[in-house]
Amino acid sequence: MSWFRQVDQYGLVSLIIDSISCRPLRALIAVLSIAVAMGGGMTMVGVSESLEATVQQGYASRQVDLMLMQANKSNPMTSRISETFVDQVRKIDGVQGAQAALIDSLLLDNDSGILVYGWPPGYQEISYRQGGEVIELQQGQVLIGRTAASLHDLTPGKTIELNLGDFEIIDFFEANSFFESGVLFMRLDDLQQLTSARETVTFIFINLDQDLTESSRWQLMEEIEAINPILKVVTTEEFLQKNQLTASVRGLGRIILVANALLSILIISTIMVLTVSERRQELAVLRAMGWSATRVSMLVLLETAVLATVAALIGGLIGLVGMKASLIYVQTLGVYSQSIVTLQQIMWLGISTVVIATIGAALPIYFTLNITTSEALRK
Amino acid sequence: MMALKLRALLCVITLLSASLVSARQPPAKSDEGGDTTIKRLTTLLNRSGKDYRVKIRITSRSNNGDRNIVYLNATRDADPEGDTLQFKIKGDDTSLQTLCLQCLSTGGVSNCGSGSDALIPEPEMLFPGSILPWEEILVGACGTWVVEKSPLVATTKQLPRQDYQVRLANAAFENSWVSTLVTLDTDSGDPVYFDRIDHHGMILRRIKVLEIGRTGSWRGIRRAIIEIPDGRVLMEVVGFRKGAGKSH
Repeated sequence: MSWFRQVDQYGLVSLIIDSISCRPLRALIAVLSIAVAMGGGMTMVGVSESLEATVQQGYASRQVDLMLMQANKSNPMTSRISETFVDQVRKIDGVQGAQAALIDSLLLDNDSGILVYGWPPGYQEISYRQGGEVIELQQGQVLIGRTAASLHDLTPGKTIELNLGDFEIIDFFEANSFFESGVLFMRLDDLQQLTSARETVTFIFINLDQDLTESSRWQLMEEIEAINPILKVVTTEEFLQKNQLTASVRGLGRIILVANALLSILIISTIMVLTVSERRQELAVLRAMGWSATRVSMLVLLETAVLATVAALIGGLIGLVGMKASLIYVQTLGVYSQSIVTLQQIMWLGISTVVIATIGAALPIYFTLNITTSEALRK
Repeated sequence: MMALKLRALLCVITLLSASLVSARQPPAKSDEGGDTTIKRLTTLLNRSGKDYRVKIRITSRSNNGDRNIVYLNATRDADPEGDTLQFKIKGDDTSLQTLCLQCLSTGGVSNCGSGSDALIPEPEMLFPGSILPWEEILVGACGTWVVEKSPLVATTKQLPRQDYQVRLANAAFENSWVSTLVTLDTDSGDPVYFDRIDHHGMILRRIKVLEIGRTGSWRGIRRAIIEIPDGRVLMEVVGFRKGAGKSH
């Protein structure tokens, strides 16, 4: 234990452990309430981060740099642009490739919604292998992602009804991302007919030459938008920012996180003020022994930090469990996402802990600074 | 003295935390006299009284397998004297038709257009490009619904349990139904079916609610299937914009 004495040469750690162990119930209540509050906030932040990261992985696997859509659409999924624009985009210098897709949420015969992607003829997305031969989908046929198949209990060979139209599931498709494994792929003309969206698509996914400079990339975006005033080019990051689902979860998550952090500050501040008021004489003795006001304040700050850190660790675990449970629920709404712990989530947790500990300790420290050495003599 | 103040503060914080936790409770399964359910259903069924533009996709499938899709773009100019509705109807097999309707505050519908726009559709006529009678569109656009406890509960054995009924407060024409019974989901308290009951006490049309918008711009029924004797009609809100009325 000599190493401990060396580290704790001023006795701060011993005093903190002593204070917490003397009031275990109070410490437990403080830690658990802060942990639950932070866990709730972390759940929401985790869900939005996971959704964005999963969709981002999908774009990365398709090597999508830009997305072309209809301008002035608050909900990007309602974008409808002419499919002929894809050929015009491909002709522009600096564009490596362009893929058109019509995306719509359709009704399955089990009364649940499912996202359906319509791809033009010749795209590998609407091809499947049969006996070593690559075959393209015929009209009335669809391919299903494995997540969608397991969630809706569907298998190749089954006939399904989509928006009151009959389709046969031919095979599974190998999805580029977890998000896409929750959808159906069909021929573009089938989806256009099914939704009366003749000759239109939702997006054109654009891959750019990798050696483009930032300025030539901006110039190219302007060139694409100049094809028609109806068009708007966005980067995948901008698209995610505009996405209603992720944006609303992100916004709500941050509000809950801030509200819960304020609540945590109130809880820890009150608990520590109570502790300081009960230990006034003890702290006054320390002052009488020659401890400076700063060192006594440090004792209070460290105790607050210990409680906040333990609460943050438990809160992080609660957030992780909450995130996984929430994403399972989100799947029932037709949105598929892996639970991904990002650096940003850990940063949010760390920053919240520091903020809660620092601000939560302010009021108890104020009371501590008012303790005088003469209080050591009072009964 | 200070300790007392601190304890009081702690109590306030505890109460505050408790009220925050209880602020968002799921709907009660059975509320006193059904007031909450009546309020929720009334809000869900009646229009907001604001200008908006909505795009509805109407997909019909008749019993012999014929499928048809038509889009209804409706622009509403809200007015206490009577809302004005501009309809644009178009589908793959339906040429563009426009229609201007005014929902009269006294009840009923009048025309506000000229030429072919001035025609008021007969309620029993089929909506263009669908197998749905116009009356469903007209009452949806101009009807003010009143929700009340159903007197038919447990008296009509051939019907599923329906606790509430809705009726038109501003009925302007003779509907083909006598009453509309509502079946609620026992867990969420949301409506699952609206059954139009005819003069013989039989279900004339069943509106099956599939999706209700709770967040975002459109707060109401987003997707529903109407089961009618001739087939099924899927109605979906596919686009919505607030405050778009006056500018058009």
